[in-house]
Amino acid sequence: MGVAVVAAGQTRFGDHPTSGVKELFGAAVDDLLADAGTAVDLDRIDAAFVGSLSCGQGMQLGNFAPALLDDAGLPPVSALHVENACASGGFAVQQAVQAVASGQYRCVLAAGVEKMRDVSGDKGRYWLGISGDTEYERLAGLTFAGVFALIASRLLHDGAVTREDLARVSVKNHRHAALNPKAHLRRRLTVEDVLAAPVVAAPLGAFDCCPTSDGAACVLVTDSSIAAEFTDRPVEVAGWGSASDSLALHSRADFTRLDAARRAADAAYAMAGVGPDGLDVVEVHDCFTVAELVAYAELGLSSIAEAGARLRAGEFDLGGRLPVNTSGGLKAKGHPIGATGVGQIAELFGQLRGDIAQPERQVPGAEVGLAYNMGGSGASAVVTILRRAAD
Amino acid sequence: MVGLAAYGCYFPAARLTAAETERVWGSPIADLDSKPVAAADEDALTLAAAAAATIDGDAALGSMSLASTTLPYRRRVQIGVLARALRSGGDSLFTTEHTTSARAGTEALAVQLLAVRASGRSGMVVAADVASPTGDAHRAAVLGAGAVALLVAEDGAVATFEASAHHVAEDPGLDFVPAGESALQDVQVSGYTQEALGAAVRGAVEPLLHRLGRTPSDYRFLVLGTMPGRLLDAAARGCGFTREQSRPVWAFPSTGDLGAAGALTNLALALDTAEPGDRILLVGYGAGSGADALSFTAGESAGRGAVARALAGGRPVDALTYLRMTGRI
Amino acid sequence: MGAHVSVPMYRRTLAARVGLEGRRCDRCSAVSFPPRGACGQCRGRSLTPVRLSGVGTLQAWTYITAAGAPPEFAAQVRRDGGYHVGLVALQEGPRVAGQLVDVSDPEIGQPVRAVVRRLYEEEGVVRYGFKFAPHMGEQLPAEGV
Ligand SMILES: [Zn+2]
Repeated sequence: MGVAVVAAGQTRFGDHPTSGVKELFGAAVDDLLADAGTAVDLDRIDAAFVGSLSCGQGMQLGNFAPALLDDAGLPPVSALHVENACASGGFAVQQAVQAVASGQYRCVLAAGVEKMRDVSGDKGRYWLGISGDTEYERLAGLTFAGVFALIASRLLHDGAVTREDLARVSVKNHRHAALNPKAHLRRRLTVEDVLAAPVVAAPLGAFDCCPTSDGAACVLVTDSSIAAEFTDRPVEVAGWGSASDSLALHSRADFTRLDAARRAADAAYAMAGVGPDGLDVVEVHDCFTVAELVAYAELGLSSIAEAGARLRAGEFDLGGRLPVNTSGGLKAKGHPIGATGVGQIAELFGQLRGDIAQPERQVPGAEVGLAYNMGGSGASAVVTILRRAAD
Repeated sequence: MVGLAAYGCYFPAARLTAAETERVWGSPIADLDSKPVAAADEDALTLAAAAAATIDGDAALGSMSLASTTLPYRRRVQIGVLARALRSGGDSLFTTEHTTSARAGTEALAVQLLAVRASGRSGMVVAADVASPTGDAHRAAVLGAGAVALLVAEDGAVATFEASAHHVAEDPGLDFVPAGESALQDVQVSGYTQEALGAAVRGAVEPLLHRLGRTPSDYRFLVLGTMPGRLLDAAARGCGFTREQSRPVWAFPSTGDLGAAGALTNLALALDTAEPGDRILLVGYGAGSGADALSFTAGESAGRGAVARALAGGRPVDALTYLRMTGRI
Repeated sequence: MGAHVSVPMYRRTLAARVGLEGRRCDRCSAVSFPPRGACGQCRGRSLTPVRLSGVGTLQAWTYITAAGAPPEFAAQVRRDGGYHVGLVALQEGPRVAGQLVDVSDPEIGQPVRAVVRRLYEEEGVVRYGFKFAPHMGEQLPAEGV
């Protein structure tokens, strides 16, 4: 039984000082409706899955998903909060897809939302670390910046990547974000800018790290057989996979790898019947620059040893062989934790339909896209492959 | 015979030197060449754990005593983290904590000598102090940081214990901290404090020499606390000892005042230097006042260089770093 | 902020954090540290406590500045500046993350040994635990069982 994405919406990622989670969620729903036009009737949804880490304090923690549906005027259907750290959104999408694939529901909303800019810097750093290994990594004074810095430290030491390679990820993703009006950080950077930024966790500096953002995104997932009732250009969910790993880096057989990503990707590729060579556009989880380089290896886009050279050659740029993070990625589009994975699907939905409003950001003729969303430092990973439906 | 079976020291790596002190404050501190400064993640308990870790620790301990005037808590049992670090503890470890004066180190040692004699099991003494971030700058300037651990056993291969004598009197002097406050205070009558110190030391040393039928010249070393040099000399002279017996076993120039760990660190220095058969008279003094005098004979295993090894490899810090590390700015 | 690691949770981990107690798998003999509910190698759940030497080799390191430090480490950063954190491969096999003390230029491959330090203080309660200092090659404590 086929599953399709028939509509997508997303707020701008970034500062939304006058919006709380309900307003952000509502704005994403409005964007979905505006984008899809009048064909979409959200009264038809059978269920909803909402991804969120639920950062911050003084917000609705319990019964989170029902509260959002109710506030947005959506039907009072089964609603579930999905939490897998930074992969909450990607897993919400996967839950929706599986709910439709199982035959139980025919039309399911997958959403993600996060309100991060309300909290002070200290509290923000507190929340940023809570999905890591609390008992040991955190008590060693590590947040995720530190954890990814350890990975980078070893890759640099082994000569697998260079410091400039890390910087080029940031430069590329900022360049893409500059074209995306929904991105959080739209300033172009140079390699020199990245190298000169203040150190956060050596060797990573401020411009190697994604921002904390407010934002929400949602996609409507239906049984393929009814997709035409919502849109004349549905996008097929061709394959998906997810996996887990040890939370702590120190517990992994090879701490420079993100093995859950590899296993999630293998499952998705097998299900979709495509491999890395069959992809036209990719959104990867680049919470830190080094994470994107490792992602290339886990997704089979490049060996880690060749990643730097390929990046320098522009292979992963807009206009390159395989554009990665055309949205700007977490690094520059922003990272409203629960919304991130859903936003990746919204970006691919636009790319595969040829709907990207900025011509220089549209990957021409893109037919197959992959989204990879990771929780924490890779303890959870979810990969989704979308394919433009045959005309 | 009951005595010391092993010993070791620990000093934090950061050092404030006399040159840096003079550069910033205009004059050096008398007798002080350099002093260890604890890092932000060190306190008396971590220093104590580090000193204890220098002692090869498979001996099952029956007892342990901790001495410090700068423990992190005013009220609670605190030696547990040491027991845990040494993988001792449980139901059968007898422990005491000595916290009210610089005499705490010899109090702890005296208790362990009694405990080992009574139980036949080994005991450990750990003494540690860190410079307190409060108190007047003049007083704080001489405060160092360090720890020393002694393993007391029925077979004292490093030194055998002979006898002890003790003195106590209502003799307020030198320094004190009133209840509810944290800063060291001082009666600031230097002639009086020197006299009070001398009286307490004499009060413990003279009966001990009398009981053992000895004179000061029977001892190679008189081990006192890490007090400034003029007080050290006065205390030694007051009970008939010479500078030659006390100055060589005085760590102050390279450690500063180590408080409760001072006398036992000086004892470690004596054990580092002693030849087998040398007699060592250890005196712990606490203002207020009280003194313990303990007589030892060095054994075959003395002379390990523990203090020098623990002091080696320090890292000089500038005055601003020092003030930040000690929480003063 | 509320407790990041509550006092009861801290207490439950003291044998590992201060006593360096790991677990040896009864099936494949692999040592797990920090202790896990199942063997990290074969996932066997029959495990026996084992004391570790604390000696190991540095495999990776980072230097955390005020911008990268969790708030509970802010007091340490104020007094000592930033701090180094390393991944250490212990000689018994397992790997663990820990702060590095008394190092200015850590080198991957350098030998280190565990020391007990303050991790942080919260709600008036000091959390103690292992960190790693350069290992100068003095005599290693024997590995207990
Ligand atoms: Zn096993």
